[in-house]
This record gives sequence, C-alpha cells and structure tokens, in this order.
Amino acid sequence: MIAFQFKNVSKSFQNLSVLKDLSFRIAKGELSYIIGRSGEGKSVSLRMMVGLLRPDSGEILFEGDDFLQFSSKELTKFRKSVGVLFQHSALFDSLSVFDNIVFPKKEHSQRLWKTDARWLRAEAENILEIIGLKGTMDSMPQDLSVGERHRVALGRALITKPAILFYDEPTTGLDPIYAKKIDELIIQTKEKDPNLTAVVVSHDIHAAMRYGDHIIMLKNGSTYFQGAPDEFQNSTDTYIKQFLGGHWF
Amino acid sequence: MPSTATPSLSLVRSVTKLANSCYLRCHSLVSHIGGFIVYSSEIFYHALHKPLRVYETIQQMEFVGYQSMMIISVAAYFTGAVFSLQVGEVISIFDAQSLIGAITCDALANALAPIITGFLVAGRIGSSMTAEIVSMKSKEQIDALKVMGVHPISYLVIPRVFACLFTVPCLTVFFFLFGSIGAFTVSTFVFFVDAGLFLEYAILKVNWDDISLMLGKSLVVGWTVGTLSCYFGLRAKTGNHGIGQATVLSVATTFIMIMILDSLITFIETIIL
Repeated sequence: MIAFQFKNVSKSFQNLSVLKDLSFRIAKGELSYIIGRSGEGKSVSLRMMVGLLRPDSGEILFEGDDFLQFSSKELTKFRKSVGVLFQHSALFDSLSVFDNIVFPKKEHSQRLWKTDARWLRAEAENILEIIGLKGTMDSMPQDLSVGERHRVALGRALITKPAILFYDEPTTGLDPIYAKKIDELIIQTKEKDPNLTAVVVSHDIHAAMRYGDHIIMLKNGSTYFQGAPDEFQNSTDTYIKQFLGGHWF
Repeated sequence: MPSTATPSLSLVRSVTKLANSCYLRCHSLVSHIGGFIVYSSEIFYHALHKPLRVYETIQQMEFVGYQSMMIISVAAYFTGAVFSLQVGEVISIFDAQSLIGAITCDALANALAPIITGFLVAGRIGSSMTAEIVSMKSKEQIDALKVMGVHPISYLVIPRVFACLFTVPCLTVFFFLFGSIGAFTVSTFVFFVDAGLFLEYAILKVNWDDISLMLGKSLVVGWTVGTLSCYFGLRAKTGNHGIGQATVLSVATTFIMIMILDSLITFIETIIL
C-alpha cells in the first residue's frame, strides 16, 4: 500500500523554482531514502509531507486521500501519528532532556495527573535506554553534544510510537561514529516495528544503499531515479555512477 | 540634447523609486494589519479552547512580573521624585507646596504609571519575548511544535499574553506606589510639606475612578505588549539579522501603540464619559 504519493508537484520561492513536476511514491512499511545534491528540494519535499509547506501546483496523496485538502483537525490528527527528526534537532532549550522527550506525550494527553509523572518517567527512561543516553534525564540540551541532541530528538519522535517517521538529514554535521550510531538507531527502530514507514532525507548514499528499501533520487527538483537499492547500484547512468563515486558535478 | 534629457530621466527614476518605496511600505503595512487581525482572532480562539496553559503562564508571570519588580520600583521612585521636584518648583511660586502629593499622584495614576510601566515592560520583556520566538523559529523549534500537533499560538503566545495581562496591572500599581513614595520623599524633605497634609490631599484627589482608569489602561498596555511582541517574533525572518530587525520593530511598534491607545482612552474618558 502506498503511504505518500507526489504527483507533478512544483514549488517556487520567489523566483527560484525548487521543485518541478516532482512525482514519486513512498510505500507503507518501507524505509525510503530521498537523496540528491544540496538544493535539489529534498527537505522541501519532506516539509510538504508533514504539511509545513504547500506546493504551488500538483497533488500529494496520503493513503489515497488528498493531503492538501486536509482540514486543520485532520492535519493535527495526522501530525500526532508521525514523528520528525529535524536537521538541527529542534530541541527546546528551556526544557530538560526528560521534558523534551515526554513533550509530545504530555501535549497529546488531555490531562495528566501527578500519578502519571512516574509513568512518564518510566517511559522516558525506556526511550533513553533505546537511544543509549541513560542517565542524561535531567541534563539540558545545551550540555549535550550535537550527536546526543540528535538522539534525544529521535527519542522525542519515538515516544508517541509513530506510524511514520521522517528524518531530515539525520547524520549531516556529525562525525562518522555518531553518524553510524544514528544510522543504527534508524535501522533498530525499523526492525522493532516492521509496519513503520520511514522517510530519510540524506546525502549519505552509502547508508541509503545499505539500509534503504527504496531510493528516490532528485535532480533539478524532479525525480531522477526511483527504485530498489540494487537497481540504483547496477544503473549504467553516468550521473548516478558519479553520485555513487562521490564526485558529481 | 543629452543635457536636457538626463535631468528629466533622473527625475522620473527618483519619482519611480519613491513611488515603489511608498507602495512597498503600504503593502507591508496592509499585510501587517491583516496578519495581526488573523493572529488576534487565533489568540481568542486558543484562549477559549483547551489545553489551559496554567504552568506555562505562571512561568511567564514570574518572568514578566517578579523579574521586572526591581527596575519598575527604581524607575517609579525616581519618576515620582523628579516629577514632584519639577511641580514643587512651579507651585511654590504660589505657596501651594502642599498640593505636590495631589498633583503627582494624580499624574502617576492617570498617565505616568501605565505608560512608563508599559515602556519598561516592552523594552525589557517584550524585546526578549520577540528575540526568543525568532530564535526558536531559526532553530526549527516552531516547526517541531507544529509537526507534534501543537499550535504555536497555544503554546507560545497564550501564556505570554496572559502573563502580560495579569502582571502589567500589578506592576502598574507597584509603579504608582513607589512613584508616590518618591513624591512623598521630595515633598517632605525638600519642600518641607507636612506628611499628613501630603497624604490627605493625595487621597482626596486620587479616587477610585482614577485607580480604575489606571488599571484599565494597564490591561490594554499588557495586551499590547504581549500580543505585539509575539506577533513580530512569529512574523520575523530567521537568522541574526532577523532577530535584530524583529526586536527593533516590536519595541518601536509597541511604544507607538501604547501612546496611541493611552491617548485614545484618555480622550474617551475625559471628553465622552
């Protein structure tokens, strides 16, 4: 079943055209990678999938329904069922690691009483164990390294047990060790819940080849390639070969 | 021939540039007015709907109210003292120094306390609120709120607006009291007015109408500071330049709006009611 489908989506910012007739699909339960050079519209596509941006033209379907026609209530309901890991973590500076992690849980609950605090703490502890940051519950985000902040942000995205997880360049700016840890967490999360749909926007072609079920490559704001990692690797296309070799122009 | 064509061409260019600049400014103004109307209606909507942001509002009240008390008390004391010094100099010509308390307290209640408190809160708290929201915007934290299904108006604006609405009247009363103490000090130690006489005339002149006018004005000031500070934060462009620009615009607009609204309320109260 298809989770998301983009049909001839275009988007411009002032005079700069970022997406041009972009069409692709993301299947349910798959780990899809959207790759491409900087400025090709990868993050713009992701922001459209969570309703932060609207296209100038084209269609976006979510499970067959017109996503662009969602009412604000439907959009809120949809957003409560997804998790997003932002490029710069987007943790709230004034809240501790614990408060950041349980933030969506607290917000989505109608009312939380004192007795729920213990349950929330147990949930947060469980998440911190998964992301390998046990003992940092009361730390502030500014006391953590960039990689750790990324992991806390992932914890915040995971706590609501989302049906779809979006990762916006999760390893950009991280050293290879932290980048590997984040990649491992992406895989672990997917393995724990095979029904989870994950969309990763990345430059990291090797991670996409290794872990992805589906690769979408963008060029000049349009889909250049769409298919399985094997097809991508065996492609005879010069541009893809250059991309794989790491020396594109 | 070119000597006659060049000046007219440059004149046309200047006029076109001026017209274009006027158009852009008018466009920006209309866009801000429209945006502010939509934003205000969203504030009303979220204020009347769950969740109630009690904890966040108390946190903001501590920031707006408690942390501003020092600056308010110092500013109020010296405003009252300087004002009564000026008034005392003039009215001592008529040997009416005993009226210093009445005049200063009346001026404090009707005009000085709500306006200066508003200016101080806008400068100290409003600018900080704007900068904080722009910074959150730059770090994608507002986008994070949206994708978690939390409306930024509900989480960021409502607690700040309510905190300003609740605390600015308290700070205004605080300003009035400390201003009166300043006036009392000058009146008794500089002009040697009897303390009892100072209090008697002050109480005689400042009645409940003046106090309710002061509280009414301070509520309007609180609303203005809270809403405009958050509005310019949410509308700002991201980045360091955006923070500076938004903060300046927020404080300047709040100052102007406080003056306009204060004049309007005074006009309605004096002429119409």
